[in-house]
Amino acid sequence: MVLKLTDYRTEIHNNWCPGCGDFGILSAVQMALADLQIPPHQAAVFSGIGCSGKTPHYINAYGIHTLHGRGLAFAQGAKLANPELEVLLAAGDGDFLGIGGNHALHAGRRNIDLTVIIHDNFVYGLTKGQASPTLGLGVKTKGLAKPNIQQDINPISLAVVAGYTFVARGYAYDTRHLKELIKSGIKHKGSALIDVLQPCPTYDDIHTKDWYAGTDLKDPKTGRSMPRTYHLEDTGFDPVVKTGKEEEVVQKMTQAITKSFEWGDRIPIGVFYQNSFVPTFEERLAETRIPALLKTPAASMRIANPDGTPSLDMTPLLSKFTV
Amino acid sequence: MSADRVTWVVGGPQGSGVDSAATIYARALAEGKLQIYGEREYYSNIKGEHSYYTVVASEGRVRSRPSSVHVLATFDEETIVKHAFDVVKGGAIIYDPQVENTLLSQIPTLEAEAVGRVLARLGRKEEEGKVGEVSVKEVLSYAESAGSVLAPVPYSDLTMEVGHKLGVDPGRLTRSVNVMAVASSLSLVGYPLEFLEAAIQKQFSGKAAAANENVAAARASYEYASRFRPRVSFTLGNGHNSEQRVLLQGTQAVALGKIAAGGRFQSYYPISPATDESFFLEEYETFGRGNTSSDYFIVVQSEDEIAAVTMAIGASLAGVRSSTATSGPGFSLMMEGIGWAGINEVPLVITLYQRGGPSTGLPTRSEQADLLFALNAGHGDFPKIVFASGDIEECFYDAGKAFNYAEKYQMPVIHLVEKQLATGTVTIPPFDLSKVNIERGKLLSGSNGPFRRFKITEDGVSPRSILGQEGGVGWYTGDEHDEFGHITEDPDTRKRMMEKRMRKLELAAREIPLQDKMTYYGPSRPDHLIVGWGGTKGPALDALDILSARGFSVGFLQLKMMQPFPSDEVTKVIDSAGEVISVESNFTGQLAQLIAQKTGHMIKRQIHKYTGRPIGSDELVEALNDMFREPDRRLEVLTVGA
Repeated sequence: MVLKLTDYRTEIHNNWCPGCGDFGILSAVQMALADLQIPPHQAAVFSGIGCSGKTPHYINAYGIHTLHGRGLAFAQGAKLANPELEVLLAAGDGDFLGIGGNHALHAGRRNIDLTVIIHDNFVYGLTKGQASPTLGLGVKTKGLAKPNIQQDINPISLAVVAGYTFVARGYAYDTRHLKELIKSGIKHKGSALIDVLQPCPTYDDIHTKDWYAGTDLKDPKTGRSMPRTYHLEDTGFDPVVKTGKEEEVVQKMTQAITKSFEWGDRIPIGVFYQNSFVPTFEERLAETRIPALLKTPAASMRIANPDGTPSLDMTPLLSKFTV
Repeated sequence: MSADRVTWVVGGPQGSGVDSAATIYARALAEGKLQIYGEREYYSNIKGEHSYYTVVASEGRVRSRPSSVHVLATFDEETIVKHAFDVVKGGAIIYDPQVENTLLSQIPTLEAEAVGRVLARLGRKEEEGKVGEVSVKEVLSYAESAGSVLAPVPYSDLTMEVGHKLGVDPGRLTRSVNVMAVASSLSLVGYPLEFLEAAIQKQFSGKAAAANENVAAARASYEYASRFRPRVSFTLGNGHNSEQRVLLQGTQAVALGKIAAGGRFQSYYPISPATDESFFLEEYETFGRGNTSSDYFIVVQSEDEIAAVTMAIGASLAGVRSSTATSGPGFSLMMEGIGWAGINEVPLVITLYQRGGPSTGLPTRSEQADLLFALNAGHGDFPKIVFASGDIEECFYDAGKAFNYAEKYQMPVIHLVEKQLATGTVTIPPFDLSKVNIERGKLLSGSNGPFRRFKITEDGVSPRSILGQEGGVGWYTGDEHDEFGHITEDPDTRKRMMEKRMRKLELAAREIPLQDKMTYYGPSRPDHLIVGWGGTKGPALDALDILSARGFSVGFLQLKMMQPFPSDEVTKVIDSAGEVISVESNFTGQLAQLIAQKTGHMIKRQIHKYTGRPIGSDELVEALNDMFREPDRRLEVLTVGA
């Protein structure tokens, strides 16, 4: 049976603001799942707190709306318990990089096979517009009483340095492009992070849909708007590590970091970095210590006999303590 | 005279082999069919600070540590000055004669307060500038005059001798000083050397050279120390009960209990004294079967305790029996995760190894001060089960029961253990796996329309699906939710969901058998009822024996289940007793507060200890004895232990 886009939708009333960039991200995720024909019960969509946190409720798949910043930790536990699950995380910029920063950082060291999608709108929407960790220093959005006094985190650079092995940036209203990024992230074996630029029409009067569309930037020749976002892949940028050799990895990482600081009138979107040579946490465990891990997920392991007694023969273990 | 129990203390700087000495000593006693009870005391430090191990040996079961010591084996000056005064008349102190002339002021790790206590015992006034003039020798002489046998054992001379005999570098043998201390100790009480040799062979199995060197070192020091034996008043013979036993620590008992009960995922962040459990699970992740094992245990060291608890929840949602283990500071970080598991009805086991609080407190010491915190963990009202093990044997079975409670009632379960039990070592009967009964609770089977993960049911428990299960797609959220798991703020749904969740606690209260909630020991209508929990069980039962022999009518009520609390049953026991005295290792009498809250009964006489050292049997006996005789005494505070 072919799964259709509608198979990934729920009947829940969506209470995001009209014009919210989250709608574009939601569609892209649903389209990616449909394109990849991932059965709803095999996908687990996690989220944290904030507007992005509501995403799982709008997707017909296992949906786990967790705590502020902790979605990634929940997701990693689930993936290790059942590596056959397709695990996604709908994260917010404050959620992931602010309160969840520690988890965001350390997940890179593990490279567990999952896909993180950051809903990056520079503000804390649900608490009425405070600056998020991605808002630039000195920027004053309309929700702020004073200009932002803290410097911003660059999510792309952070992800590359932390060890994520697939790092990309998308734009919420370039939905088809975003869908392809999400599909690549899902297919990538390892931790994938996609930072999605997402206008908040209610609290951010700077990074608006018009701003991304470049309505303030007119081509002197044609007089038409010049969109700020452009596709990296159209420029010959090659993010993919080909040999896995250290020198090449460093070169690709450096290139990605440099590119990630391009901002303003020209904003690159697309894949910044991809390295498939780093084993996942699951593979590391399976290769060196627990070969059964990838054959039998812990979730399917039998633990009890029909009479309720343990099915595991504990003799070899208990004999170590016998005196 | 043959002592019913022989108490041995070995002490030295952290990292000097105190633990390995204690392990070999305990194994040697176990080889001779004796039973042992051991407590480990150490600073939050890697090398240098004073650490010591107490091992009590007996033919019968040993459950606690008396304060008097029969044999004290020392690796340094500090151990002598801190423990020599505890040695009984006719007992012995083993030390390296090289340390005799050290002045107290030359012991850098000795606290000023400890110096003050030594001076007080010696009857010396602390005068400005004169403190440092007291030497270790004076302490030893004092102990000798009080009846202790001084047993100087020149370890370096002995290692030279043994090295020469074996033709090996004596430097290698400095590693055998711990074995030499054990051999000297056993020699003093006349315990047969053959059992020590057998223990060494087992300890060093597969390392023939090391085994030979250690056996030679043991023989030489056993022989050397025998010259002191005639003056020592106590002997320790081997036991005769040939029943098989296991020798292990509390963290190992918990880990084995989790493995037996089908726990297969644990996430943790390093913290004393909980880490040993996770470390053990990781070491035996394929259960001692090597990497061809089809069964395994996943252990993840997370970036913090917030991740530890939430990873475990994620794994549980995917259908694995999941747990985390921590201590106070880590548990503090886990609050939000516990609340999320509560509202989402996720089976979750948290083993909480209590240490001295608040804040960093006493990281390597024992306390029972997290009871009310555990009961109130997380904001808002949600059901959770909180229960406490009383000894290391209980730890094994309770670790398994925790998973049953978690899965049957779909809620967080907090299993309370104390540092005292965590790092304690005991011999106990082998675990009976037929007593481990795995019950997984209500699970979705098949599919029939949209799945209602939080279906309102009469007993409050809804069948659950696991992530990846066909037909079980559903939602979880920390927001209040409807039966499908979608966010709602509807007042009626809120009311019904709150009631559904809380009903599960009533179900647990009905289903969990009384013996898993509390145990009463003693006569049916005691004059004096002692109430306690956790590690108080051991010293309380020993105190019960002693006080009963003195003619007191006394009983002990051990509380295990703190929530759901057995209010009616506790009330019955309290009402049957003449008077009630609570015994707890905390400042505020937390169990007494809980009993007051749940039964309305105010326990007016209490015994507390909050030095971070476990309650010893002697001090408890004396405190109870005093309270029995003086009805006006409201509070006794215990202080024994270096």
